[in-house]
Amino acid sequence: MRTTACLLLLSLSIAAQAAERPRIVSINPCVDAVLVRVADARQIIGISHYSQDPKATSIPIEVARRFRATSGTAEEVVALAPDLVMSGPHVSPATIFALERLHIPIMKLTVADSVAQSEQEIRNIARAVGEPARGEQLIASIERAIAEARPRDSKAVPALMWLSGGMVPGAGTLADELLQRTGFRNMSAAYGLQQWDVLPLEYLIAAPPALVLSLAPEDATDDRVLRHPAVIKLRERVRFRTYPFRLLSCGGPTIIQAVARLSEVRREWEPR
Amino acid sequence: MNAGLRTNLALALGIAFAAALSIAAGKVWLPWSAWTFGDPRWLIIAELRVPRTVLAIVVGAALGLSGAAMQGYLRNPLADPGLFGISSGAALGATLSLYFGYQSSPFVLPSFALAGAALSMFTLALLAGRSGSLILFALAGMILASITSSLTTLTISLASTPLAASEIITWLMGALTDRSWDDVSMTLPVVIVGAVLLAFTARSLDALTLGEQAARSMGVDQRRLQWLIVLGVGLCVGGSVAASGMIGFVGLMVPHIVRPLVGGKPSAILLPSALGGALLVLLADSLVRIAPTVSEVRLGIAMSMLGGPFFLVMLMRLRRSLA
Amino acid sequence: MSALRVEQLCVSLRGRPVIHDFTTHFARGRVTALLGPNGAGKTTLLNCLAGLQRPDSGCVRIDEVDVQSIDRRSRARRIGLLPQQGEVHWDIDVATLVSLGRFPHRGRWGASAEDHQAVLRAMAATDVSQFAARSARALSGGERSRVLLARVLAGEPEWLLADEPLASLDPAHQLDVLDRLREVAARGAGVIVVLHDLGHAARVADDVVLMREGRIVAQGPRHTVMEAPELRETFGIDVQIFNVHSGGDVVNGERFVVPLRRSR
Repeated sequence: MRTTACLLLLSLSIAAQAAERPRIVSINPCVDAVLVRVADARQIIGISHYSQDPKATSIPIEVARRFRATSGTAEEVVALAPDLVMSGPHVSPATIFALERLHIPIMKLTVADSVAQSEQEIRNIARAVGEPARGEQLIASIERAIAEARPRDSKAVPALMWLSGGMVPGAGTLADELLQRTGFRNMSAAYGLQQWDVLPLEYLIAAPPALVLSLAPEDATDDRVLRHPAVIKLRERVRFRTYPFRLLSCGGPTIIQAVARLSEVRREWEPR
Repeated sequence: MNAGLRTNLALALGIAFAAALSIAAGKVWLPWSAWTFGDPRWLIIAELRVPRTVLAIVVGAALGLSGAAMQGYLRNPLADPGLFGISSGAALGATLSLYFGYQSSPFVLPSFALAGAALSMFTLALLAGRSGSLILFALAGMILASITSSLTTLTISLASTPLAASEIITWLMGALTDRSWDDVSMTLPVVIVGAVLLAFTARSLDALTLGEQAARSMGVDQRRLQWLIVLGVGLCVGGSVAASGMIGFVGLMVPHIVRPLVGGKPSAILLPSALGGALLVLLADSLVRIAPTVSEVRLGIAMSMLGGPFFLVMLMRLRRSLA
Repeated sequence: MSALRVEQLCVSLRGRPVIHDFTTHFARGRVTALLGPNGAGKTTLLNCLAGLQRPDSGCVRIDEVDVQSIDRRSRARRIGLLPQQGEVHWDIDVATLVSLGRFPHRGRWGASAEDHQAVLRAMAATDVSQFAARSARALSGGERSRVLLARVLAGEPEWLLADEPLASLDPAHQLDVLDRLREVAARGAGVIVVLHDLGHAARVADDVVLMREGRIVAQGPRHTVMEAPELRETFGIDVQIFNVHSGGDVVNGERFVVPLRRSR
C-alpha cells in the first residue's frame, strides 16, 4: 500500500527529472545487495553500516567499502540530501516520522517470504532507481540459478534449517521455498511450526529429518544446542551440514548463492 | 548565598553548557555555515537536534525529580522510580503498539505508553486500596512490575520474525534518537503536571524524616501524600518512557550525587535532583553520539554502564567507612 | 479551664482489645504521669489522645470537641506528640530538625520570624543550642533525645504528650528534661508523660493515672496514687516511701518512692 503510493509519487517525479537519476540512500543491508546490482554506482550515496560488517553483509566487502555507510539515523540521512530513502520493514518509527517531516520520500521494502515476492521487490527497486532493465537482468540470473539448482532425481529429502538457539524458519518463509525448489522437504511444517518458531529438541529427536542445516556465521564452530548429548547421538542417523547465516537474512541476489549451497548439499543424496 | 542556591545555579549553568554541546554533537559534523537559516542542513539542527536536547532535559529532570521524591517518601536512599511498576506498564503499552504495527502518526506510540502508565496507576490504586501502608504499596508495585514485564517479554516472544522482536527490544533499550517537536509537545505537559504534584509533597516529605507517627502527629495527611506521590511519579515516569523508552539509574543516582552538596533534607534535594537529572541525561546523550562507534550506543545501556561503577564506588566508600 | 477528656474509650488493635472503658480527664497547667506495666496500653492511649488512633467506641474530647473531628492541622498545632522511637531518617543538622516542629504552623511561604524564635527558644530550653549546626546523626543518644524534645517544644503546643522521653539520658539530663516538662506545664500547657521510673514520676507529676491491661487501676493526685496499695499490686513490688529533706526542711513536700523488692 505504502510502497505503491510512494512509487506513484516517485514515477511522477522521476519522469519530471527525465535524465536526472535519483540519488538513493539505503538504510537496509538487504536493499543494499539489490542496489549495487541494479543502480548506477553514482546514484548510491549511502548504504547501511551493516553492509560494511563482514559478519552481517550481503555484499562483497570490497564492493561495500566503495560506498559511504550510515547508521540509519535521520540526521545522517538528511546530511546526504538524497532524493529517496529505502528501508526495510523494521525501522524505528521516530526515524520514519523525522524523515517525513523533513520531506524526504521513504520507500519501505518488505522482508520477502517467497521468491516471487523477492523478484517483485527487485522490480520495485529497479523502477525507483530508473533502471528497470537491470532489474530484469538480475531476476533472470536468479531464475537461472534456481533452475540449475534443481535436483536430478525427484526425491524430496526431509530437511530442517536450524538457527542458533533453536529458531527454525517454518512454512511461508523464503527459506522454506528455497528448500522446496532445491529438492528438500521442510520438516518444520510436519512439526507444526508457523513462520519462525522455536523447535523443542524432543520433536527433533522423535521424528528426525535426513538433514539438518545449522545456520551459523561463517566462522562459528558449533552451536550450544547442537552439542546436546541427545543431538550428538542423532548424528549417527542424520547428516549435519552448515549453511551461512547471511544467506538467510535477505532475498534478492543472495538467493543465487543460497540455492548454490543448497544444491551442493543436495548432491550428496543423488545416485552416483 | 546558601549551599542550595549555589548548587542549583551551578547545575543550571551546567545544563546551559551541556545543551550547547548537545546541539553541536552528532555523527554529522556541521560547519558554521550550516547554522544559517537558508542552509538545508539547518533542518538537522532545528528539527532534530534542538528537540532532542529539549527532550533530554525534560526526561532527565522528570526522572531525577521522581527519584528524589520516591526516596524521600520511602525513607530509603535506594528507592527508584521504577518501584511502583508504572514504567514497566508504560513500556508494555509501547511494546503492544510496536507489536501491532500501529504507526499512523507520531503520537500513536507515546499515547499507548501513556495509556499503559495510566492503567498501571489505576491498577496500583486497586491493589493497594485505601490504606496508607508503605509495605502494601511497595508489594503492589512489585506485583505490577512483574506482571507487566512478563507480558512485555511474552509480546516479544510472539513477534512473527526475529527482526520484529529485535525492533521491540531495541526500542525498550531506551534512546532519544530522531525525536521531534511532536514528542516534546506530548511529553512536556505530562511531565509538568507530574512535577507540580511532586512539588506539593516537599514539606510533608521533610516531616516524614522523623518517621510516620511523628509526621502524622504534626498534621501530615498520609493518604493525600501517597496519592500525590503516585500520580506525580507516574506522570513523570510515564511521560519519560513514552518519549525515550526505559532509561534507568537516573532517578537512583542523581539524588545520591546531590545530597552531599545540599544536605539530606528531602525538600532541599527535589530541585537539584531535577536539574542534575537533566544535566546527566544531556551529557550521556551527547556522549552516545560523539562516541566513535558506527551507530549510537542506546541511551538506556549507556546509563546502566554509568550506574554500575557509580554504585561500586559507593560500596567501596561505605565499606571503608564501616571498617 | 480547658481540659482533655477521655470518655469510655475502647480501642482494639489487630482484633485484640487494648483499652477498655477508659474514662479520665487531664487539666492544662498540670503534669500527669501515665504509669503501668508493659503492655498496659499507654502508647495506644497517647495515640488516641493525639487523634492518631481511631477508637472503637467512646471518644477523646479537647475543650468539648471530639479530637477526631478537628482538622489535621489545627490538631497538630494544639497537640504535640513525642514518640518513643526517635527515628531520624536523613542526615540533617539539629537546627533543621528542630524547625520541623514548626510544620503545623508554617505558612505558604516558608519560615517566619516567629518560627525562628520558637526554634531558638526550644533549643535553648533543652540545652542543645550549641549543636545547632551539627548533624543530628552525629549526636549521642542522650543529645538526640533532647533534640527530639526540642522539636516538639518548637511547636508550642497546648498539650504535650511524651512517650518515655527519659530513655538513654544520663541522670543530669533526665532531671533537666523533667524540669523542662514542669516549666512547660507552668506556662499553661497540659503535659502527659509516660514514665517507667517511679522516682521520676513522683518528682515531676501533679497527677498520676495508673493503668493495667487497658484499664484504669487508680487515678488522682500524685501522693494518693503513689502511696496506694494498688501501685504495689499493679507492679508486683514492695516500695519504700521517703520524705526528701534538704538541710532539715522538707523540699516542696516531696516524697520519694523507691522500689525495694518483688512482693512475695
